[in-house]
Amino acid sequence: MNVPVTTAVEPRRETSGERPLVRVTELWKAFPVARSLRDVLRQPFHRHPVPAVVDVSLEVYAGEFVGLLGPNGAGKTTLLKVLATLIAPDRGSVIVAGHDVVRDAASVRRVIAPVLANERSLYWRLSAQENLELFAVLLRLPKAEIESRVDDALDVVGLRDTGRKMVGQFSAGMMQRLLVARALLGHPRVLLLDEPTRSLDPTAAHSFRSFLREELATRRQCAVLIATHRTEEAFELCDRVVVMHRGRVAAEGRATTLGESLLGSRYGVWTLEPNHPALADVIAGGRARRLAARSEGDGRWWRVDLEIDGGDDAAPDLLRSLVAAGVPIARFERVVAPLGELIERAIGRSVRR
Amino acid sequence: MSVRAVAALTHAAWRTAKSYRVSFVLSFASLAVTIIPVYFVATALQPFMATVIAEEGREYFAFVLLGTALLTLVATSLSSFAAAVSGGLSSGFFEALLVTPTPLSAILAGQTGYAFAWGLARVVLLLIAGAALGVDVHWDRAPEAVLVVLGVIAAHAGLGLVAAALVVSFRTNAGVPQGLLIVSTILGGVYFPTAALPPALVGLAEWLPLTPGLRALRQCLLLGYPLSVVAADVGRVLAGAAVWFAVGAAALRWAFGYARRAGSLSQY
Repeated sequence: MNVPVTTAVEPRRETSGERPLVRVTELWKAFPVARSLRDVLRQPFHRHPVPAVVDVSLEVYAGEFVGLLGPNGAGKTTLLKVLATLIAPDRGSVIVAGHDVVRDAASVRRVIAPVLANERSLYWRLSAQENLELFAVLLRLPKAEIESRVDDALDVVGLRDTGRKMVGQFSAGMMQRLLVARALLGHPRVLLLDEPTRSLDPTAAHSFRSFLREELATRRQCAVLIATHRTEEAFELCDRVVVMHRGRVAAEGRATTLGESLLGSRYGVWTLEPNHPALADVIAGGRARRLAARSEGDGRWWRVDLEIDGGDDAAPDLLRSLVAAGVPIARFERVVAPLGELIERAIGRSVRR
Repeated sequence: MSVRAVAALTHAAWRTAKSYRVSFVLSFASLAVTIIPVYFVATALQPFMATVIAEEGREYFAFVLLGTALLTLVATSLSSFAAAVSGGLSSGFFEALLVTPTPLSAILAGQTGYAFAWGLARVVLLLIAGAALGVDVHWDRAPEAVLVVLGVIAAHAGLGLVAAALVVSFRTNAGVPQGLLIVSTILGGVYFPTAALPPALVGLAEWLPLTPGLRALRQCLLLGYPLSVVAADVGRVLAGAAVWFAVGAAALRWAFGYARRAGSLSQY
């Protein structure tokens, strides 16, 4: 059986009396496998469901960003869709802002805003404003408030000036922003984002992440669950990440803390002499492990990635001894581990346990 | 049901259709292509058809015109729900609608509202064109006609809901709307009265909701019969509407529950 890797996280906020906005308890979901007609005729009552979510428990508080990580088919989207009331759970309970997703789905839909669908879920021949006005009606906003809410939502995502433009003429980034604006219309308390920056270029993705953090978590105090494959999202945006594998939680904790516990402390050393004897001594002595070395910029400088034994506490000593031994170092900095590696390690550790 | 939501979705579909200007204008022009050849062919066949259609009308053109008009609404009722669900599921739009607090009934009505409005507009235009070409309509029987038309729409909408339920459950309507439309066109008395069918098929034709509906509609509007004369056919239409609509609604409700359990409700 898989045992999740859990790192030290902040003390549970519930001890301070705060209730989670999302509480998933021992959730199970399995899907039937499509069978050929021949199979159905041969064994009409045979069922062989494939588990998609297995015994998942999770809490998300107001103002918190929780990242769902994991390979394709890990169960991230299924979990989000259960929360969005699009998929019925088999077992366990899912409570959103005090409402059960099965027994009180209508109330859940009033407080939750999923951004799961892609840009084709917009009316491309209508303007951004018209799209939002339509959804304002579907969200049952009072008639008198629709105009101001639509203006606000467009303003927040930076589309106010292009609100009257046809959506079909928008870039992928603008459409993504419009989907978020649509989600924000109803002033939701819980937001579900499925790879929100997948179609954005790095610059647009960066500004979009800043916007998400500032607007959703800080200003609106929404609880946000975000399924992502991007390192930056996991490390910069999320207060906590949950690594999923084959429907189970394989690891949970702060991304940086998880990274440290699973991958060690990684530092990049910018040097002119990647094979300097002092550097080799440090590695041979077991104070650090050499992960990679590659030339940077004009080819004279090299970045050597080290995993330092003893973590951050040992890093200053190591740097001191390298400089003292005459290693020419221009930069020495902590580097973020690749997300894929973190996920792989978390899954491997969880399976071994 | 939220009337505001239905109106908003219908309005959005109307604005989308209107934005394709050329095809929007051509869709009106296609009505002329539908009606003018029918007029000349029907006029040519009038001497041969007069006695055959006597129970339902005097002029063959008027007979075919009403058949075509009602068939337009039958086609819309049979296909629009499945088309809306199928398109919405594959684009992800349906998923976005389902996570709003708007009830499913309002979403479906809104998603098909424009198709029905456009179908009704076509019928009205066909009738106006028919009147312009000399069709003698008993407008004083309009209330009876409206009742019959609503019954026929409801009965076929029920079958359309069954087709939509198949799409939700199995991602295919298994050709149900197309099959029913073909059968209704051939056996429902659209272009010729069911009495002209081989005896073995007459009984089958009478089971179709279109057959008594079309007969009652023609007798009211073309012969001026009051409700009391056509009561038996109207009763069958309304009973069929009640049964099929209930079956369709139940099938769709079951299908959505199944899809939520099977995880096939959202985009695939």
